[in-house]
Amino acid sequence: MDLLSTLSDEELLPELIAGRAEAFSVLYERYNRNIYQFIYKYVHSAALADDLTQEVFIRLWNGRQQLSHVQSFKGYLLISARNHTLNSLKAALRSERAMGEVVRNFVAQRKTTDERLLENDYAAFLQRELSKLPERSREIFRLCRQEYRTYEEVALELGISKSAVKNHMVYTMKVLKASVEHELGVSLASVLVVFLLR
Amino acid sequence: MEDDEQYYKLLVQRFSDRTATDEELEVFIKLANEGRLDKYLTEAMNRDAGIAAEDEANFLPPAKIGRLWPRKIAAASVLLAISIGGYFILHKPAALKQTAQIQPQDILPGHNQATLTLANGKKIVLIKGLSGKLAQQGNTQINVNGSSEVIYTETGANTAIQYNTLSTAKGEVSPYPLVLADGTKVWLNSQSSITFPIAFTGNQRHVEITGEAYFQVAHNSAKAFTVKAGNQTVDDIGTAFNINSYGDEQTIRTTLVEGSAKVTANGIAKILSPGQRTLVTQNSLLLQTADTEAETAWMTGKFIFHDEDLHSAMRQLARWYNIDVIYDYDPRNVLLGGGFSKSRNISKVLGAFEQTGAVKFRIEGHTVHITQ
Repeated sequence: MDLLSTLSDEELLPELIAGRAEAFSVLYERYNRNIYQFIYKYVHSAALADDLTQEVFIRLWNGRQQLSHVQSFKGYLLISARNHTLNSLKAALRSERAMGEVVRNFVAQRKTTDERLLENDYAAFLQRELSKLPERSREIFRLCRQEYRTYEEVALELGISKSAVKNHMVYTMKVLKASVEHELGVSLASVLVVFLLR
Repeated sequence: MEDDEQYYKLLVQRFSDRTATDEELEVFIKLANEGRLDKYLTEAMNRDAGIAAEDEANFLPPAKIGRLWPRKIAAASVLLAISIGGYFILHKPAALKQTAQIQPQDILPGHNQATLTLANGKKIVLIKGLSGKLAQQGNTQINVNGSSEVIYTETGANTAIQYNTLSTAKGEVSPYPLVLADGTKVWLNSQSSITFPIAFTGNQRHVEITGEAYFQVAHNSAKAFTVKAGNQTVDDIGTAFNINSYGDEQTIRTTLVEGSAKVTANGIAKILSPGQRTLVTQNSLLLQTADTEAETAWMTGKFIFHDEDLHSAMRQLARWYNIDVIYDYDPRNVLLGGGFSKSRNISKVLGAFEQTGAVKFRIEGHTVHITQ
């Protein structure tokens, strides 16, 4: 498992096609948060997004024998998630019950003008603060916080140690925390949430 | 056709970023059901997921899974079916609804009036058509100048500092601007007040307001001009700005029209540039781009709503039409847009709100009920 987690997507693909469950687990861990966030944006329901995320991965596993022509695993997975979300959303719109779930959550979470303004401000603020950081720290922040990669994956991708990734993140979060609290007078968490859910 | 395309894209965006109004949500559902949004949904999803055109080549669909709307939902939806049924009965598309009925009862707009309270407690009601000397306070004379300004003029040195207050009630707006002893002009909106010294001694010029006021400050770098509103202070650096600090609003909004000003609250200070505003809450201070036209619309006798929340719009109407608002039905997340002259009766504004199909009103005396 530890060994497999250091492999790239494309190295894992043959293992997956061969039916090796550990390869599937690694890919699941690598992408499930990403896929969930994406789906959530279009169904507005945590329960539905959970279910659809599971289904995307079930499909991946069940259809593993047909993956031999796949060039980019990530591209394949994202398109699979997109298609499943679109089809499910349309199916939901035809079913009063499922649609109720979507509409109810949408209405409950709808943003007011003020919140939208705030979010835009927060996002712009974070972008500005991030742009002041060294490029390496910025890249690591993007991978860890916006692409939901683990420190291991980022270390692997950039060819540096896991503790180097961690050090960059600690530094970045410290800088952001200080400027957010000083300039905006709110907690970093409230600003980051807004940024990451966009 | 191109317009449709833009509109469809907007609908999809507003659905995915959760900003669609009830009407937009309905149209979205209808169009998505007809398959007319597939293209735009796909485009938006590709953008969100970072899918490149060449990724499509990877994809041949694997085996299907039959079950689409699974177990977790099933339990919840028994209850939902009831409430959602209600939702769709209440939110039929606007076109199917009866258009607004003009109420037999109506409410007249507010009027130009303000009350000046002198240091000795004497009250002077300011209306249009006054002219000449109104009062004397210490060595300061108060005049109405050609019916266009109330002017404080020092005729000799003032030894004791005395404070006067200009205030408006609900349904009133100051008939003319107030000109302080230093030449600074202040306009006062409904249900607002300003307390100021009859003359500015020392190296400070300090006034306090409640509600909403617009300032055109006579700049004097040797004498700082500060305005206190709730928990915030504005330091003028040579300038025109609007402060909205009503007690029933969640934020104090300070909008800079020209010059430069510093807003301080909660231990944070921000310098405003023209076209910017600050939002101050109990704990925070935020700098934003302002919609100056909407913020200062009251100065020109208008309401301008840009995606205004219903509650916020009704609070503004309440101050001008001197009404109480009762929510017999509380529609969430209704956003309204439009410009209205403040000289129209309330039915014109409410009628326009009803056209959206999202909300209905009933007027009883000076109470407006929100019904559905």
